Amino acid sequence: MALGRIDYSIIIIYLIGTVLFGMYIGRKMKSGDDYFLAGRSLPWWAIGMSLVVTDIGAVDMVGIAGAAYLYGIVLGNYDWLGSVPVMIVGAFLFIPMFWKSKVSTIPEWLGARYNQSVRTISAVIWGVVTAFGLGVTLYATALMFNLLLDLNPKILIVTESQYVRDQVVEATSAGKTHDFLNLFDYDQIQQVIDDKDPNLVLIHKGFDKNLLSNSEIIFFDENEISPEWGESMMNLARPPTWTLMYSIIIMSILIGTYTLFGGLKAVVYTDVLQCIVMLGGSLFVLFFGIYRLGGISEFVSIIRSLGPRAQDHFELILSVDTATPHPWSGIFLGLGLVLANAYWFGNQNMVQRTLGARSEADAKASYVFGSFLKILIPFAMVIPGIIALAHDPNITDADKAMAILVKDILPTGALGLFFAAFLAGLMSSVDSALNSGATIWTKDVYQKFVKPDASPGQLLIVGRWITAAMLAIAIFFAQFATRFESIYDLSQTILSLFQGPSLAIIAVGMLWKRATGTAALISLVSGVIFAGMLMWVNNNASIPLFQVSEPFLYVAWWSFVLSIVILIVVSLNTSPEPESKLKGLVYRYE
Amino acid sequence: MNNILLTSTALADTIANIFRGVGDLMRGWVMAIPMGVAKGIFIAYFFLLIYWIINLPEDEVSVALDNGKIIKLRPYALFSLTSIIIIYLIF
Repeated sequence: MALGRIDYSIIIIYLIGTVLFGMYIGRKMKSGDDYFLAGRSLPWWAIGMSLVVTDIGAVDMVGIAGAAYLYGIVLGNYDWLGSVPVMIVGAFLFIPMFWKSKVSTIPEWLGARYNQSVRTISAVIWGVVTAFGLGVTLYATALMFNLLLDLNPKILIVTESQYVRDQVVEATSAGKTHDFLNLFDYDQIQQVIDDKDPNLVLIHKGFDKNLLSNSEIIFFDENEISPEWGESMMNLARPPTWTLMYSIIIMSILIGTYTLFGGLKAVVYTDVLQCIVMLGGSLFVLFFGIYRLGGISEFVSIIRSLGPRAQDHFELILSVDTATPHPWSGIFLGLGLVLANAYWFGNQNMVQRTLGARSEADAKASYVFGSFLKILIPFAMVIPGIIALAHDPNITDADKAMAILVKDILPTGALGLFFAAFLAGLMSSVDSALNSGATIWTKDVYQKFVKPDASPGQLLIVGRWITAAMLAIAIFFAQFATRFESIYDLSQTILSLFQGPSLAIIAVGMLWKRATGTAALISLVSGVIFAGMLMWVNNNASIPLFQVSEPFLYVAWWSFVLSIVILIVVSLNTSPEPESKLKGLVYRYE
Repeated sequence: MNNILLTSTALADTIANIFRGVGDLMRGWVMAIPMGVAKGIFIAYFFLLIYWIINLPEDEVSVALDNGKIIKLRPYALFSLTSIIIIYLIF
């Protein structure tokens, strides 16, 4: 099903409406606190919905559904293990501690608990990671924007052999930037060319050349296929009229406008709107998708009939020697005990909303409410990825699975509404990263080192300039994201370098008053270096150190363990922090 | 350039060999755990959290909003965790 005029109208109205709504919400912005923490006025329900929709932004929509297409329901662990229990722990332990300390950022809390060196290193690492991660998120958002609005250039491959088709896709390295149209039936070539106007047509041997006369059509033999051949074919393709970069810039302008004007308040309240529509739309796709397949039992039997590639698609826990990046040991240790905790109460992006809560009660209740909503997310994101597999097992780029499913099954009108919500949801993860990154750079770098006596008005102006600068950096980084196979794995890899050590010093610092500033500094630096070294060794050794394809879960776990050991050993060998300094910063130590 | 690549591979191999022995040993232990027990570890973790929630003092799980209304968060937290246990039992 292609988008109709009514669909495009809905999408445009929705996107412009979101921008105007965000600007309206933020119209009374007067100080840095208004901009970064919404004047500490946010209610629990808005924060809870914002937390959830931020987490299911571009990375989840593109990456999780795509990974579920490849690996199945094991991706549900990222919410059921990686969010629900952790948010409950956060609600009663970490979040109230942050809120009561009245800080604006996690590095600021680390500065109060340990020392200014820990704060600065943490702030700079987070600032850089956020800027880079923002590029990945922006790329994912633009990728979906192109796909949903059918803006990608197209390559038509005509062959009776699936193997040959896969080889062509690999040789051209254009899986992310182009849509591949696959045709196994030679009789329909002219019709597809007329309807889709592909930029390049590659026809496998065995077809009578005299039947077509088009200079863009190239006939090939499978023996020719190689990376060099793929590159030469791409050079022959008609240049695209619309590239991913245009979409990246458009999304940046839309998101930048309301984030720049409205700050955290605009981010949170636009998220509320997006959460309602997105959850509703995604659950509709779930039920409608299963209905179209003929019911649950038919859905399950289609997946089972796909053989070995889908034999574990309904298993939440996979063995240690699984070929996927999700063995149960890595999921439990790396995700459940480290990355999830680091994400939900060590990530400025998420915690910042609760720091803007109007009371401690709202901060706590927001996380409990969020955990409640999080139970639904795998039903809205992961299972549709598996439905996409049942619907079409031949999608060449798994990251496009969700969009293809939605496009194929929803009727006109509903399609436009869903795509608008989908795009708005994608925007929510970019706006959040943008706002939290700007907060760190403004509060922990500018205010601390450049102008400690900056007025609230000056902080507002600087915050807006930094937001604009971060967006420019993100646009630059976004073009490199195409080099990675899976967006989700890339973002997790980046985070895993820092999350383990970061969580170690936050958790131990909050639970153990004997932890010292010197120990935290050594622990943080050595943990990040160790994580980077593990990743480097794994990529450069003749035989990879880890036996899973993307070892980010194990890297996070081992860097966390090492950081904890160093933190404890060094703390016991350095002078304790003064007790007066620790009050209100250590759990149940008032 | 080739020399640099060879040197970095050699260095990576040396470091990898140091960790690989310990890693293989631990991997062997984890591999020996039956899948049923592995699932049990996940569920035990959720039960541990339920136990913790039940034993939290009342003032930490009941919150007063700005309008004075008291909300008891414990039942909601227990509901979330129980739902997750059911999901892990099904899949």
